[in-house]
Amino acid sequence: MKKVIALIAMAILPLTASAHGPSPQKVEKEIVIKADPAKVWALVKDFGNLQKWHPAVASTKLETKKDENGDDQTYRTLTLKGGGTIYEKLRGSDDKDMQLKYEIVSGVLPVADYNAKMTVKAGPGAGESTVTWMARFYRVYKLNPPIPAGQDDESAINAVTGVFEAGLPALKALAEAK
Amino acid sequence: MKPSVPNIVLITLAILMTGLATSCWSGNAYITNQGDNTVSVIDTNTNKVINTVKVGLAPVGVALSATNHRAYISNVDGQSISVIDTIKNELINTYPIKGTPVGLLLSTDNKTLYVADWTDDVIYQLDAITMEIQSQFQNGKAPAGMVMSPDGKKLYIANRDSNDVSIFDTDTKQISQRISVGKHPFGLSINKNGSELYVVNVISNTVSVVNTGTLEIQTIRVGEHPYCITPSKDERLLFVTNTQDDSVSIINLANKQSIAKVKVGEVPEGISLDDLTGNIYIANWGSNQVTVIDSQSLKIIAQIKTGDKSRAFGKFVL
Repeated sequence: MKKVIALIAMAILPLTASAHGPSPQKVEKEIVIKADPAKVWALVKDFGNLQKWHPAVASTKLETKKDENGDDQTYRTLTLKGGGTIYEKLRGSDDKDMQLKYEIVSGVLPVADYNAKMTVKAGPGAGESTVTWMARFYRVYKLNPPIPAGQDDESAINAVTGVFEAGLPALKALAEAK
Repeated sequence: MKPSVPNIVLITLAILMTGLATSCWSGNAYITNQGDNTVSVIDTNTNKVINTVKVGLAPVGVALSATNHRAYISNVDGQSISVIDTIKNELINTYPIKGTPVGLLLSTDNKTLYVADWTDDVIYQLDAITMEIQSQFQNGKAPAGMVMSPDGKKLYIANRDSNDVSIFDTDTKQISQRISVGKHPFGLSINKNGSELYVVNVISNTVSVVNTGTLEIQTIRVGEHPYCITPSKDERLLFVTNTQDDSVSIINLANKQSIAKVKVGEVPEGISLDDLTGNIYIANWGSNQVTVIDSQSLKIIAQIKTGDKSRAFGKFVL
């Protein structure tokens, strides 16, 4: 947990919407939770309350903004216990498939063009749920090698892995609590 | 002794049958697996992986030549091009190249390999046999997908960060024109007679259909974060991978309307037509597999396990 916060706080780097590196990276983690899928999905889809279960998050601020077409878009600002914020956009929340999709607009993680999805599925056993958390992103450094320390693929993968590995057991603990 | 007429017929038949056998043999898809630095070779008759070839670091782009019996693979993190013998399906060699090679294209005469450098905005022209750089030219920003007109006179290049497509004249060796399209064009395709160019705009979630004569553009909305495109064999339909909703959009080319969306694997990237069967092959980066769609029924007919993070950017079915 401390390691996650340190990792996140370590690399306060700006994100831009311009070119990204050539190779997208992936982190995918799965956990089985002994709780009903509807209960788990209710926690996962609650975009404005990540602090309820993620131990690195101190608070979540939810906002709605109009996009260029005049449609409402949902954003959240995560304030981290270790310092710094992450600003994220909700990309989709599908009750039928129990899937939440979001992207990072800006923030302290050493990643670029980050988008992720969390999916809840029934099983493997009766009354159990399987949560899959998958992110696709690029390293911060966009040019040819040599790649500066902290802006390489490994730094990006480690930071995202830290977030997922701290979050999923905590989600499980909350969902399984009586 | 002169051969009798029946003998000539027999010989002609034998030659024809050899030709047929050769073309059947060449039904392979070459899938780059970014995560384990390999290429999965799929036999498109059986839809089974028949070989896995070790290439350079983080392979992405594919260009194929039946004439040269070669598959060219761009290794973006390895800063190299691997060449595979498509008869033996074995590695011939891996050649270092400067920069960030992503998009690859073989000229229609099979003599030149074009390599798009994503970072330095350069297009390299290599001898497709010796792999030596013959010339290079500066291009728009972050060049990605490339296609060539059937007469070999025009090379089209999608410039992701310039939001346009360059037209490179292969006679004058100059960029003759740049066409504005949607935001972040990536994958390209062209129809058989070269009258229509298809451009996938990643950030706009659209496809631009460019009339290559008048340069008029029609824009079609597709799914989230689309990447690559191919027409069907009969050129009635277009198939587009939508990386962020795990689907393929199908467009009716007659009225330029999106008619269906088929769920495929996770994060579909590369898409290619098998000219032999008419089936559509899709490389799924997120789920490490290839999905095969029957372009008549629009149904999935096979899911093939490949390697880690399959990309297959370019025309990858021979």
